[in-house]
Amino acid sequence: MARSSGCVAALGAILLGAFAFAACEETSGTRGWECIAPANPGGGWDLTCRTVGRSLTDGGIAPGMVRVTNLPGAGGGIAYAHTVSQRAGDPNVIVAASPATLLRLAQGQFAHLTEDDVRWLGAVATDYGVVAVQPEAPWRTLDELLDHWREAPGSVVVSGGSAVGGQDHMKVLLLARAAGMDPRSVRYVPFDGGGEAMTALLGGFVNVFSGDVTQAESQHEAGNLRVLAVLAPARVEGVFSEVPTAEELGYPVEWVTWRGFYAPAGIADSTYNRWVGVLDTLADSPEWARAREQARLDPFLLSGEEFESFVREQVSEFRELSRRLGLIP
Amino acid sequence: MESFLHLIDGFAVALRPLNVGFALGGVLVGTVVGLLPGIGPINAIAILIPLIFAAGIPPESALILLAGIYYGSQYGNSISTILLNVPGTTSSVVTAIDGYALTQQGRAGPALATAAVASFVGGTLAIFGLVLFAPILSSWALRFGPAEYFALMVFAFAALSSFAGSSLAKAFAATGLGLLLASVGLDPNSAVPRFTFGELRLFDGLDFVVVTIGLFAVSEVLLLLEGSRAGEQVHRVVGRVLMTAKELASSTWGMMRGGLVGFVVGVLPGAGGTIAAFVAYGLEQRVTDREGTFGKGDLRGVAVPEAASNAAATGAMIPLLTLGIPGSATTAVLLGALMGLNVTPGPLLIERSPEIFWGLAASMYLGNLFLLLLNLPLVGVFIRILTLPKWFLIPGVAGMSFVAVYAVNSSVFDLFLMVGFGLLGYGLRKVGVPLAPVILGLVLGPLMERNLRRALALSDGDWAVLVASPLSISIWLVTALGLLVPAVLWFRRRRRRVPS
Amino acid sequence: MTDGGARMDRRTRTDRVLGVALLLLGAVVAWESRKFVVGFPADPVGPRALPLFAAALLAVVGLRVLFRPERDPRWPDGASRIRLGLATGALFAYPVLLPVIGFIVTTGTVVLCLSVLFGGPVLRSSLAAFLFAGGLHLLFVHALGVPLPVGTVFTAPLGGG
Repeated sequence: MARSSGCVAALGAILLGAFAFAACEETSGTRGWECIAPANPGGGWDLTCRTVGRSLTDGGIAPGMVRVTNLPGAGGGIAYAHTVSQRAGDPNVIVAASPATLLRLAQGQFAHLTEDDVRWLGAVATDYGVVAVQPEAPWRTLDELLDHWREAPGSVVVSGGSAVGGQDHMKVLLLARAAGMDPRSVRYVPFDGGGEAMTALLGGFVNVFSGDVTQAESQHEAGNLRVLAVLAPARVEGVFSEVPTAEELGYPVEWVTWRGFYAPAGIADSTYNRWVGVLDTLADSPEWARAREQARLDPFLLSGEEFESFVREQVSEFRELSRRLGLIP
Repeated sequence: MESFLHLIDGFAVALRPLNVGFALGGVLVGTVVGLLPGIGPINAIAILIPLIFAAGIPPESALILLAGIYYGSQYGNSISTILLNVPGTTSSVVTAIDGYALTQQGRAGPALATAAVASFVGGTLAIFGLVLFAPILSSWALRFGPAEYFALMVFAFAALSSFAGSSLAKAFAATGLGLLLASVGLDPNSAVPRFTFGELRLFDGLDFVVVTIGLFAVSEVLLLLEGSRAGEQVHRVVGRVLMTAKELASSTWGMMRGGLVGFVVGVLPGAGGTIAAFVAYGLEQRVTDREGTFGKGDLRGVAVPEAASNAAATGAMIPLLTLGIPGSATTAVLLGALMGLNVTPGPLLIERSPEIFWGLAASMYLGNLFLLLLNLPLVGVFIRILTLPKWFLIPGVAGMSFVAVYAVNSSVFDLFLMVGFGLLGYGLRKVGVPLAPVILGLVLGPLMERNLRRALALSDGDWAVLVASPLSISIWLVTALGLLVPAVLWFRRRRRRVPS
Repeated sequence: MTDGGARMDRRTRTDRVLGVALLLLGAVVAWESRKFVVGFPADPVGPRALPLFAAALLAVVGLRVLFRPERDPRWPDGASRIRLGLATGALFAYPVLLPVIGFIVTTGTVVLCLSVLFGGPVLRSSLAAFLFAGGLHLLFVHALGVPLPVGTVFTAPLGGG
């Protein structure tokens, strides 16, 4: 009995010490910068927060460590609602975002919140959309595919990793629109993530895969699929340097899968300008260049007012497309 | 033969002191974080990734460490499942059935030891499969389209009666409930929200961990409270710490079969890891449960799902490495790590970075051995947990459930849900509705629905697509056999009984 | 199955209630499923199929349980019922208190309540409960990097400065 109570006391002393330490650190730790990732650890937005956070710290841009908070749910809706309702005016927090955020906003899936409920800071890196077919497919170019598609819309099935109305769906809808097709005639089948969507193409269950450069790279290189076009403003370096952009081929379609940030509304203009400055400095820093390359992303900088108007344009375009598709009234 | 030469090179990589240390450290960390239900391994990996990038560790060593955490956590979770009825993954839901029943009978030791041996057998079997058949299997996995997946899900559902407990009708009620829970959230095929009541937090559907911890762990706390007297310990521990040689021998073939089924199913991206344990348990119960001891504390009921889930975890490395397609949340994080280390998983990986592929295979072999050697002697320590007084241990389980569920989404809402599911689980167990089919419905429901809808979207509404390939036809045949054989046996037994 | 007559004599109220509950649930689910309307040409199955299937399953089982009930389980008696009620209260209090008074205090208090309900000695239970809460905090916040709530009570006065 004496031995066991001694044991408990010793254990208690250790834990109490640790506990006091933890409590101290907890209250002092809230002053630094914070990045909210609206995804689980390992998800896309989590990676954005973690890589940007590390580069900000390593580059000496941030005062100390940047804390990453995961707030997954509703395709970013949980984090969005949290930022609007509980972080208004918080000068130390930014939230990761991408075109997926804007799509949800455009389709009214963030309850009643709109793109005007936060301040859009900027984007610092990007991926680009691709359209791919099987190597033995009858279409050798994007033109051939779209010509056939226009003739017989029902004979082409597209797979993508996002839900109906999501990014991969929108890519092909934009392409179809540029080719003069009715978006409602496009047959899109959603899969659970880009990997499964690509497997469906490799297995011959669909005709076209809609995804991103980073997803298609290794299979394209191995010759297991053929990327017909990259939906970028200019050719992408590396594996896809031989692949034309859709614009080159006469279809003005771009899909920039940008990685960026917003901040809560109610922050002072000086705070807003500070964040914009931080993103500009980050984009130029060697730390970020290295981290960005590790994440296989391309450089892309759009910040401040320029970014805000870009966001508004994108949202209204997505809204219009979703309406034409019948997703929203 | 060539594969084995490569494997020898792989062992040269795996036996470097740093890599041996990483494999050992990985399975240790994995076991510890696996003890906590829910997000343990994913978080541990996500936190280590930036450290690994920063430290400039060579990619094969990094992968050895992370993979060690991945499969170590599988075993760690079976410890808390068997001892405390806190399953954190779908496969441990299956282990919980017989594993916790054994604990209640005072035989936690043999159950844990069997789980350790089964993980080893399943893992080792799967590594041989990985070495010999990786390229063949990855092209096999590609032939699995939506129609085939749908057939496979129906096949998995046919295992339902193996989880029925006393009443088949109530097992169907449980499945219906699971399917209902599965339909909560934004439907990806039509962007229509179902049963979300306008609540954003329900848009992604119900989280498996929230439902499982509520149904299993929280309801267990309430049940134990109802029947408790002051000062009691949780469960008796009787008899030997480990299983007897005879018990081991009787479950060995089960482990082999479980490992085989788990590996083959595990190779299929997306569905594999989720259904491997269910399918293997269902098959084994049908084939070998002559005395009707499955579900009531049969060591084979622990051995089979454990072997299957460990083999499936290894099998899932095949689509990850050779196709670049992650089959689960954890392998998705591993994929991110590999990309960051400048290794592109995909068809060219084995050619371009043989040291990574073969080094990993060899290190997984070592890691599994480490797991076994570490954990067998620790069984005696782990079961001592059960001799703690109830007032000490069971409230701790409740506290652990809260923090584990909170950690998944940082959401207080999830905690309310969890407690709600705890009450539901208490009620269901009281009225004799088994819990495992609820989970079966919850995890298989979406897979079944989505693949059926995909298949029919691809065929433009032609139902013949479901039986259009030899692969799907054979799955349907096996399903039919699986349903018919027990029915025939049942009728024959009944006829024999009538004259007497 | 043959002793259906004998079964009627036993107390079977629980299963009758369960049967009605399952039937009702099935009906509500089927009714709610009407609302799942898709405004564009989607897949041929649609979002209604799965909930309707679940509803049908629940209703059929409900009928079966209603007309072939099993014997009642033993429900908790007076003292147990009070303890269960208190425990349920403590469990529901957890998410209410967590954001306000923070992880360590909430976890300590709720675990302590449960310990006492399980018949633990108060002093030792409180020591164990709060040490446990501190330990979990260490593990999750520092080792696993999961932020846990500090509690608005503690942060509010600091928020201004």
